[in-house]
Amino acid sequence: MTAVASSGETNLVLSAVRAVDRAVLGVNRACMIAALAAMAVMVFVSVSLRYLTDDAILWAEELSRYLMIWLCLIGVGPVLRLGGHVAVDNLHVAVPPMAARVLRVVVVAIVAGFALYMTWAGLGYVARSWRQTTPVLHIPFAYVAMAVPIGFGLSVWHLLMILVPYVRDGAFETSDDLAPEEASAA
Amino acid sequence: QTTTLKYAFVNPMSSHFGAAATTFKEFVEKESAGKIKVDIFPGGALGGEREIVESMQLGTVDMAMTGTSIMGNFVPEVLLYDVPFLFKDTRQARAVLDGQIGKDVLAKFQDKDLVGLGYGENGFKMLTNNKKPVLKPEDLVGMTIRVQENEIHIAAFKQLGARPTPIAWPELYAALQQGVVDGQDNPISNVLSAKFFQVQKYGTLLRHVFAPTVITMSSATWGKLSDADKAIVQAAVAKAVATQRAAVDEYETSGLAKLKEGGMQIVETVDTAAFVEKLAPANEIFAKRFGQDKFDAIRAMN
Amino acid sequence: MTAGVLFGGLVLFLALGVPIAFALGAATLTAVLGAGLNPIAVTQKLVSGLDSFPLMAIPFFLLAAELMTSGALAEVLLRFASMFVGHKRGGLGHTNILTITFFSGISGSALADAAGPGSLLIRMMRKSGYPPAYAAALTAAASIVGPIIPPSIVMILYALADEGVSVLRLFMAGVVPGLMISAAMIGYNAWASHRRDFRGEGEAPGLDEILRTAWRAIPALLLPTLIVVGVHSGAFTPTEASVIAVFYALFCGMVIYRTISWSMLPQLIARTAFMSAAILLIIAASSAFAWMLTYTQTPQVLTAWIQGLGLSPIMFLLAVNVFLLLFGIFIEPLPGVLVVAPILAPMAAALGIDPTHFAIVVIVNLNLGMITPPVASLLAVTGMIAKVRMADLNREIYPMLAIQILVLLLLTFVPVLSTGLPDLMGAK
Ligand code: NA
Ligand code: NA
Repeated sequence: MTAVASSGETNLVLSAVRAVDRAVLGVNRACMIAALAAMAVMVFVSVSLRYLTDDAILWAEELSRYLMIWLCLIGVGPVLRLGGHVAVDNLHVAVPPMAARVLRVVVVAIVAGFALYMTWAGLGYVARSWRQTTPVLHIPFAYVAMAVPIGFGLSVWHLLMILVPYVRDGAFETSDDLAPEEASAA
Repeated sequence: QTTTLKYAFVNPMSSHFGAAATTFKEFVEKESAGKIKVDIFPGGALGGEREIVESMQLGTVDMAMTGTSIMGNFVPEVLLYDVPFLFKDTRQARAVLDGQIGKDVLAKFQDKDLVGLGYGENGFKMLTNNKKPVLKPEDLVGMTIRVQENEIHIAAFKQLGARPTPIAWPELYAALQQGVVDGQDNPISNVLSAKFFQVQKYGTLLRHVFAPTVITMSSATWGKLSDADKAIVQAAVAKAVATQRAAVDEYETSGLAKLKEGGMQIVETVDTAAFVEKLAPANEIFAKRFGQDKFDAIRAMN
Repeated sequence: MTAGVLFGGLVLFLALGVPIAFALGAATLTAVLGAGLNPIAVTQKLVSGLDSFPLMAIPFFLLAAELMTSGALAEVLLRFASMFVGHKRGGLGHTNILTITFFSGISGSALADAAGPGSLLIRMMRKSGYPPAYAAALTAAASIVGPIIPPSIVMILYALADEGVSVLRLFMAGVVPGLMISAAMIGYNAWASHRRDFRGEGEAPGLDEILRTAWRAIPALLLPTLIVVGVHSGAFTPTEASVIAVFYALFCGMVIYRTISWSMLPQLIARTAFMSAAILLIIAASSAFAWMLTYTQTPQVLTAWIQGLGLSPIMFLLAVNVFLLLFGIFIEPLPGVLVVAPILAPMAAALGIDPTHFAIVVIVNLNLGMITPPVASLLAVTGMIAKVRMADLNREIYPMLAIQILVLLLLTFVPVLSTGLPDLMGAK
């Protein structure tokens, strides 16, 4: 009786986590799309305006650079989920399955350790960057630096979400986001 | 025990930055009897100017020589020097920088974990372009001029009727060569070292902006030095500044000759008054921002 | 000591199978902590490594290629290219090399070449039955010429670091070496295709099909034309050209071929965003690693040691080549030039080596770093596009790398290959 109830609770917690995860991934992915689209539109409009009017949007160059920093750093986690960070996997292929599992635990520990440290150090970077402004927009540089703790913090979440299948089978998630050929063939 | 100072800048070792750094290093190492060592990192080896300043705040770079424009993102008061036609000539500019006005600005560095030690210079900026010789403000109308990411320069060129366009420094040479922009403004030293004379037909010694440099130290590093060591560093900075100024004086003569040899047509004297007059509306805004009293004090100096 | 931690950490993390970007970052962090430095410096270097306008050509050319290939355009281009060489042995491989050589005259960066036309060609080669690992390796090896044939971001940075050379002179000096590398790759592709029988399907097409396909291919073929004319006439910079390519590709896909709809855009952009993020993270981490390396003064110590050997100019050049090849295993060309040019160029000049000749040797060598595993950004890009394992890719790249090292040796021993054209054109 109690066992059933607790497994029911576990299921409830799991589905709640899953719902949160879907929301986190959805928003994260949408922000990446928005950042890249905005970069392209801004630079294009800025170049066009040089020919159409006497004005150039001077902040477009700066803002698009900062968006690229954000794109890369908030992309760390989602790319991690899909196994998109290139690694040298010779050792993993060469050793027996059990040893490969141990190796994957070590890899996870190093990746998670680095990501957590960057989140923490990134918060320090943000704290220091409030008193530095950007050259054109005159906004605190902290808004750029924030990409570090947010990006690496999110990557820890994404890593947790693939932890079990990755350690057990070396499996990543699959998605159209990193499988261009199949998608275009369909 | 010995202290090692990591001294960084983005210009090449062979430039007036390298000359100043070498003077500093030799003086400090000799006077401290080897107790203080100076490691020089030229050519942006430790990062661009913004990064270097940030690194001094973090304590990973001990000292640096940078332009003052970039410093404006950390200490807005230094942007005063970017106001066009603020200085009449080199002598006056040096007097202002070494005097009370310059010292007051350096004092502001403290709040940002930095110690401003002294000013060197890149010299006055010249204007180069590929369209025509610029003699009067009207010649600039419709010309696309690459400007630094700096609101004061942008506002000034707009006021003059030019079309200021931001182009990243690494792309500037190609942009000038291919005509993406018509011109740019930089001190003679930069026009020489970046070889813009190869891709720009006309040069005007407009002398619209005097570009100082500043020697800065990380507050953390400064705090670790003994009073005697601080005195050695201060004396070395004065020597380094003198070396840099002498190098810039040299650019004004031999450097200019090299630009001409390189095929650039140089306009050496322009009707500055016409430019100043055209810039009056913009200057009003600058005066409000930095204080009319400072402007008056500078113009009163000779 | 710190340098030992830096390299030891990197080799260990890479061997364990830690993703390259994380291995670079974690090794840098370990060294920073070991040296008692503020760890915030690592976050600062990650940000500043990405804070570059020319770097934006990478996501933009990737996006343009994604838009191009998502329409019928890939098919059209494939059929067009294969009409001429597709049915011949190794034909599409040759098309790949020639196209990239052509594109390197437009872009300043090898990564942009591999990301733009390269990704299109890899997909085309896959569809025609080339092994994906071979297609990815060939594209990476061919893309090396991007920063050797002008324009070139690396050359601009080099000229800023060494007063002895001008950008203009370096640009001209790169043309012959770049074409030599392309020619060597064509030779290798011909040999490999003969041995392994790579060929496209089908026989030579009929006249009506040629005309129909050519007509359909015109908008696609206009893209490189638009970029070349635009950049050389000064309408836009090479980086700006990448965004022009995006909107031109979008226009073709939505209006001319009508194979892209608004609803497809988010997915197309997402794919580019994911790929860009992965590549950019390697570049960011690599610049943090290069910074720490400079910080420990390892390059300075090594070069002082080389200088102490009292080598003849030719032995010095060979020593520099060996040093840079090892250096290039870990370091990308852009941070690499910033680290080594200010140190090595004066030493070479003191030995009486022609600065232009030396610059080309250094630049070609550092560019090889982009295809020397394991830290090889070009292989990372093409491997991701082709979806192949690093181990398979490495097997294909080694013979190509060997050939390029032979070209490098030729350039090292025969200065006139570098200095001939600029001297002929009178470029100072
Ligand atoms: Na190129
Ligand atoms: Na490499």
